[in-house]
Amino acid sequence: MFAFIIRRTLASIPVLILVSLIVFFLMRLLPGDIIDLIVGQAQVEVSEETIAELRLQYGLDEPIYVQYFNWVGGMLRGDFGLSFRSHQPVIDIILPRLVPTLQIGLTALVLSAAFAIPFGAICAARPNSVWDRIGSMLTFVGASTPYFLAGGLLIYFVAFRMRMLPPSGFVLPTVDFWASMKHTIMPAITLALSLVAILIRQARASFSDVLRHPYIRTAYAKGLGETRVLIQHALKNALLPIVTILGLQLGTVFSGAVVTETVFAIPGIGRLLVDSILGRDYPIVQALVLLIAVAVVVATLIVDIVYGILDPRASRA
Amino acid sequence: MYSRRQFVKSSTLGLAGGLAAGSFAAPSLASTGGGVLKVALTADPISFDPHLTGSLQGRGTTQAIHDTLFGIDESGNLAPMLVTEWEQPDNKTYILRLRPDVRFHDGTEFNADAVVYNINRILDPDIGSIRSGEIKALDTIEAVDNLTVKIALQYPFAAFLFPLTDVSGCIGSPTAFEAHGKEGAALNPVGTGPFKLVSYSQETETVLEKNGDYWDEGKPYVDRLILRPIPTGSTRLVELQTGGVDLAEDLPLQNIASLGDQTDIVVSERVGFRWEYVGFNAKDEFPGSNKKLRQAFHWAIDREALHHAAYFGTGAIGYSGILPGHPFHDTDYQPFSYDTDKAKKLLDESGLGSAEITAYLRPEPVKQRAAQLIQSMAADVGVTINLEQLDYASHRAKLRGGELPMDMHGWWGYRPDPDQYLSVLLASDGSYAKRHGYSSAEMDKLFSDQRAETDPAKRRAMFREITRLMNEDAIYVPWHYSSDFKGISKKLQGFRHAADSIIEYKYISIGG
Repeated sequence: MFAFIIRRTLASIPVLILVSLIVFFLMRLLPGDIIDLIVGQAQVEVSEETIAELRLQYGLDEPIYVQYFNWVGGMLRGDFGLSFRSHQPVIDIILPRLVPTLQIGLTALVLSAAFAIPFGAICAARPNSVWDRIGSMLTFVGASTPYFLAGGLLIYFVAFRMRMLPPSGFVLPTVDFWASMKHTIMPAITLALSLVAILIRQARASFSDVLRHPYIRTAYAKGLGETRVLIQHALKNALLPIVTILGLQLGTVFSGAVVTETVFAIPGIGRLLVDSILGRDYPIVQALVLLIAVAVVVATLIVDIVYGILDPRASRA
Repeated sequence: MYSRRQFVKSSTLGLAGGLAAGSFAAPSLASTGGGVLKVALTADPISFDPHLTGSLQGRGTTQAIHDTLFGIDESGNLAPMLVTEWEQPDNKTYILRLRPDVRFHDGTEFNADAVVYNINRILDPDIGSIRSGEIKALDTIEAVDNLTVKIALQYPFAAFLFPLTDVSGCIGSPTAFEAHGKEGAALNPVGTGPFKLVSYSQETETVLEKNGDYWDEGKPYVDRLILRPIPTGSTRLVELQTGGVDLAEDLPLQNIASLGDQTDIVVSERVGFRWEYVGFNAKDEFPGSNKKLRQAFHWAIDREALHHAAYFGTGAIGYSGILPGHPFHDTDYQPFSYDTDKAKKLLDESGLGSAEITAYLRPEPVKQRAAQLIQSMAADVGVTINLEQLDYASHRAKLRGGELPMDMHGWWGYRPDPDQYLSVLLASDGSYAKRHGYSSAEMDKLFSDQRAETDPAKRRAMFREITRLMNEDAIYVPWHYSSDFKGISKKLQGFRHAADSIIEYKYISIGG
């Protein structure tokens, strides 16, 4: 197992180098830079000398490959640079923004898995039943409702009409745990909606596949009830593809965070990423994309490890 | 639609700078104390360094912490602030007398040296302040005595003092600037203003508290100010409706309509925050190089229809670049009407036959709606407009490169003197003028004449002449003045809707 982890970690290094190159040059291929935005936002006459001075201060006057090696060199020394927009160290900006995104994302993942896996199992066990139809409908609705609509509706009904939860913002769990939970529920449900759609489908497919095996028929034949068959016999085998999908949903969590964090005014990294791309804040975008790449690599690694635990054949391969 | 009853227009055409009536009168004696004022901003202030901040939210928050040298009164004229009296011995010299007994939040004294330090900081290339362009006419600034500053200009510039009503005129403690350095100053602001910064958490909240030693006796009224950036308009509105905030910036038009007959919220509208025009690039390679084509748009645009369809009847129809609310604005100036025959005749005279032109749009829903209407109006007279979408930075890059054949975005942001933006747009050395390929000796003369003139009445007439020539050359075809909207809880008193949309927190109190 240990050698497996080492092997996988080494294999991810070229991936990260490639990601760093792509994000660095893609950002610079976008037309317009931070100075255009500073000047545009202020709507004042800015002289050519001031613009040249600003380019110098932001290090944008150097050849692009020099800028790349400066950045990579800085990172290897643990220096991610200063944000273009706020002049604060990139790390100081990104780290606090991770908590809300992770808290909401993990809550959404847990909520959707807890709901979708049993539901998918029931759908598979009783095909074409009422449950199965509700399941397909949920899949359809969940997959086709955009986050901003789901979020907006939740805010309207839950926060405005029923006044049950605060409409926006975030509180750290270390500051006030219950307030933090209250701020987590609506964005987590919004995110969970599309996760549920994906997971119900996957769970149903995976269970119906497993349920066709002869050992399931044997289990029924020896007199076990449906619940025991599903949990004790089918679950472990059905879980393999579901875990894979769940790990890959990290991407959905990040992309969904972009919208939910904007709708609910949550200071997370999804919103930070979009604001920084639109704001041409290169250092933040570069560091964030790398961070997300690392997270996806790690998540895939964890999936593989869990896979190995669930199915020992996988880690021996 | 919303009910007109609770829709307070702060400034309508002709009522120059007239402020909201009724519920926003001066605070009553019963409600002058304390409380927490919670405000929903559209974006994070990001920096509190007055000389480096750029956004409206940055400028607004910075001005709660730092007083400006001058204020603007309700008629749009210069008013005392940190400067109590000023005189102009000749058109290149100003003598400013400063308010005595004012202290910075760090306890150091506000004086002439501090003013000189701050103005020089703006001009320091190492600081790289984008405000340097606003005070480029400055030759020397010196402290005559502890409370007197003398400013000498390189050339006459009548609008010189006006930028000092905004962040260029914000005075921070020189001791603090020196102690924190350029990067540190962003989050460690020390001014003389009504509020002090307590804590800041990016994209979460900015907390300010009352400056107990504020020079303006009795103000500010509230003890604490919490500013929360909430990017989505409908969320800001729900926060306002559920009491999560007491004041919300920039309520989008479609949300205002959804307010219905809610009685505990008032929407304040200030006309003249933005000036909408259709801009043309007059460089040879673009269709806009044809003057008759440009002039045809004066008649081809149905301003009334745009006013209703794109702006739901808010704001005001516009024919010039002088914004309503400004003393130089003239309501009677209405030289154009919707007349497709005249437009077609001008197009015939243009000799172009048919014209095709591309307009790039930024992601702003109202503008996109307006652009589609203008597109169909132009089609009616035989001009094809192709609309293309860009993000904000890409749009700026195209604008900087002078590559916009047509510009549908106009100018945003009220400025207390029209020279501050019209010169950018019209004078030959102005960046927008260059990007639009515009240069006119006659226009340049008008600008240098009004700059040398100290009598406001004469300047007003000169700006009328500038407007006439602007419309004659038709690089910018004006069509609308749009508004700034703020949603206000009815329990607030003393809210003044400033023309530049910056909230003056010190006048606001929380009543019952």
